[in-house]
Amino acid sequence: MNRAHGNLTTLKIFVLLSFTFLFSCSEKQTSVRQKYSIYTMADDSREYINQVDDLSSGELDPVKSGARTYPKQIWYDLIVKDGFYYRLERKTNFFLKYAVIKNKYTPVDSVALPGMSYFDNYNWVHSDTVFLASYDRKTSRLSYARINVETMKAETGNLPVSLPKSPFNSMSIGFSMLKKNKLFLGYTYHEISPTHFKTTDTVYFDRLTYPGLKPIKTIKDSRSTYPGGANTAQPNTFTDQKGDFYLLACPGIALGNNPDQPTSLYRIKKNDDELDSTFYWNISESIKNHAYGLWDIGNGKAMIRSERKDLFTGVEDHYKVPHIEFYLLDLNKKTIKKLDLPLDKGTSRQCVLVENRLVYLSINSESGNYIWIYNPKEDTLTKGLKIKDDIDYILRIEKLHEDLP
Amino acid sequence: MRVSKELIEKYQSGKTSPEESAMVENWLLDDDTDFDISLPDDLNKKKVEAEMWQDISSALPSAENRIFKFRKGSVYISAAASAAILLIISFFLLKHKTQDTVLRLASKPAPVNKEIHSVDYTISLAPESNASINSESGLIDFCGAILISPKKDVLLSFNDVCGENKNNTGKMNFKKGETYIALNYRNNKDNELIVMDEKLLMGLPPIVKRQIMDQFNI
Repeated sequence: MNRAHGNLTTLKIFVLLSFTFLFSCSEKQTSVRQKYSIYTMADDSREYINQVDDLSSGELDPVKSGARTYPKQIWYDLIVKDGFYYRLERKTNFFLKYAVIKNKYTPVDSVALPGMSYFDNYNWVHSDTVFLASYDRKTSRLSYARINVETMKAETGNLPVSLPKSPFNSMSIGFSMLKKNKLFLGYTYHEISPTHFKTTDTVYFDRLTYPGLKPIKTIKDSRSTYPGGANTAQPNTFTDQKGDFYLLACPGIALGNNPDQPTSLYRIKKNDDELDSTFYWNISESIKNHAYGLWDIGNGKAMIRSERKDLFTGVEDHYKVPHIEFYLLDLNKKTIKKLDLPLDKGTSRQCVLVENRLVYLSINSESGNYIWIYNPKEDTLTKGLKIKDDIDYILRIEKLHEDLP
Repeated sequence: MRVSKELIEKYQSGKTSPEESAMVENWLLDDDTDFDISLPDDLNKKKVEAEMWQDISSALPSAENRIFKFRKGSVYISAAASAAILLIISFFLLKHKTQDTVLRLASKPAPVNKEIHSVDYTISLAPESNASINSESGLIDFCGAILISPKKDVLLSFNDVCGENKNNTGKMNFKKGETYIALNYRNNKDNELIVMDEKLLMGLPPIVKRQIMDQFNI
């Protein structure tokens, strides 16, 4: 006898989806286009999305005015693109497309991704196509899915990357980066048991043909590990205006758990396929701590989030104690500067957004939840939008549309 | 008041009151009961579709109202409603064409975790984990990962018994109706005992989180 598993919530979402389908036939949707999406989690663990036009002032009460999301999530993997939201329903392997319609978080379409219940990494390989990758320990498969979000058609398969060998029994895809007809996949291996977790001491990345996904070459670097972390929670890579690709390797306890190695910043230059031998930055040496999260803020500058090991005891309180600091990196001069902000909390958050040469940072601090605005030219910090105190975490702030002026 | 088809329609069109919205959202979120459908060995597509449809229909609270009621006198509404029923059915049939692979992949039975029941709480033990419980003192000795579902508000203490030299301890107040996870987390140097609300699992490293999801079918 075969058995199928799922849960009632999923079925209900599909019921809702069918109603949405109905409405889209019977009623033309009209909604005002907003600029930003703010995804929050309240003190009672309920999650909300607010779409707003201004981050620079005012006050937001997500519990009152937000669209509540479902089902309950334990990941932050709510992908935003062109006004829609995407999320994988882990129990049924359906990739769902949602919209906020009349302030309701509403499923509008879906596609089955057989065998995929989770993804480490997502990457928009084309304006309408997202590439997902993850390793599944249960099936020992490193799989990918390529989904056209306009047609909601998906192609799935296995990636030709070396699978974990003993003592390693798991792996993570930390980044995927498409450059012309080549796909770069950054990864690492883990050893996990019910009482033990550790990551190998090496950064790996493979070069594959694209779209054929045939292996070309494996590159290793043993100065750090866990390249790219998990961008579903927080980005750790970017390609700058010049076309150079930067990647942060994250061995700290919150990601790789191999803390003897340093958090490190690497570069792959625009016209090169190897790690840039002239650029390596031992971030841990500069800040005397581990860091996670990397954002490009333009003009050769980047931002990272750093933990403060003197303010937390371990993984048990890393996510709930305010101890996070923000640093500004000058990538050309290799200088670093701490921003004068209140201590932030939340191990991983999508909390930096750049627009019109201003940097918006969401800070969950003991002195209140605010969007702060950093002006790199003037080197000033000001408080912007206040988010009500009954919000425990500001999980993500993002642009709803990439074509903002 | 119950969540009805009409209320869902009203919710979708953004016309519900805050109370009604909350009701629909709670209905969507809180009844997270697992379902389990039996499938014949010679996977019969039609039967699967029929069974899935039956499950989906019963997920609608007013199952008896499943047939759309046509308002009197309007040929247009009747036609629209018929078209709507067709659309819903064809939507699900279309989805289930792609579903057989999912069904086959999910056909392996999930391992059943050992459960320990006490008057105050239920504890589910992850594979390769062990625990012993002193129900009088509320002290739980364990190694590995356990999931705790309190039946009333209770204070529990934990003792990490994975061995070696240092034993970690921790205690926490547990609230009735919530779910908590306790686990050991260690690297070469440190040995931590983590006790947390299941709703805050997002704070853990992705690999550890995935292991817990698999261990407890979260």
